[in-house]
Amino acid sequence: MMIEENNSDVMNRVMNSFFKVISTRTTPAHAWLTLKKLIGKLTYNYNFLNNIEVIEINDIKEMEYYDTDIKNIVNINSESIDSINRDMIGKAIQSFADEIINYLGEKAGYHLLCEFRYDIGDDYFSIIKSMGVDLHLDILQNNLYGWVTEDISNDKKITKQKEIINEVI
Amino acid sequence: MKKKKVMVVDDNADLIHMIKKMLEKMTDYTVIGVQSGKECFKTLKNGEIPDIMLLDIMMPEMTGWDVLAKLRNEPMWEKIPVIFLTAKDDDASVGLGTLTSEGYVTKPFDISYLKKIVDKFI
Repeated sequence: MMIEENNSDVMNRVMNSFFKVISTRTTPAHAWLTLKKLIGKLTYNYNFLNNIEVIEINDIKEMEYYDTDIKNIVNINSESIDSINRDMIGKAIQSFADEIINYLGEKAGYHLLCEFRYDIGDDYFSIIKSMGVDLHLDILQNNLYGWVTEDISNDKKITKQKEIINEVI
Repeated sequence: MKKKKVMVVDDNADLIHMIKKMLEKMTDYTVIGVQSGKECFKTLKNGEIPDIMLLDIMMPEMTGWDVLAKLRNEPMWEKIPVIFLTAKDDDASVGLGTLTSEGYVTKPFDISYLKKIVDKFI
């Protein structure tokens, strides 16, 4: 059964997960900047993103010591975000993911979105899917590795996953 | 007319020397070299504000990622155009660096190409 979460909770979880997976590729301070940039960029199309503020920090030096498990990288005006149609929230999240692919390319983008998908967990992944978000993981996987999950047996899946992990390592 | 300033932030002194020598020979720009993030901010605080910054990523103590974040968090310096100049050439670094900076150039680089990029922002 799908858990019930309001828009602001979903956005909070999504932003914190993106922060976490970007932090592991650069640094928490740079991930903070990346979120600010992306939210700023997408605000042109999704004005309601103005109600999501990446936390202000006094000294970036603080960020060097931030645990990437930090609970909250954003302050959200819940009342405003919760009043937005869920499909629009989904479109904004979709655009966020699309921008990631656009900048990182298919391969690095795919790996980042895979990590994001695992970080938000099954419940939140189901929720964003119900909002219309499609991370295109199967398509990207197929483009990169020439197979889709549904096409092959479990044994082959495991072998393929090992190949991918070895390649990433 | 006041000469335009290019700041190179890189822990490799030889590279700074090479860029300074070549860019100053090819252009009218003054090249200021600093070897760490700490030295970069000390120079900025002393009022030496460059027209563009060429920023390495892999430096001890403070990475280029953190230098950029700190610059963008300070109203006085947030508008300084920053070009990453780095050996980090994996897709994630190139993509995320391109997203947050004005440019991303990987080492080894062609000095004429670097000049073109610097010219674009000065």
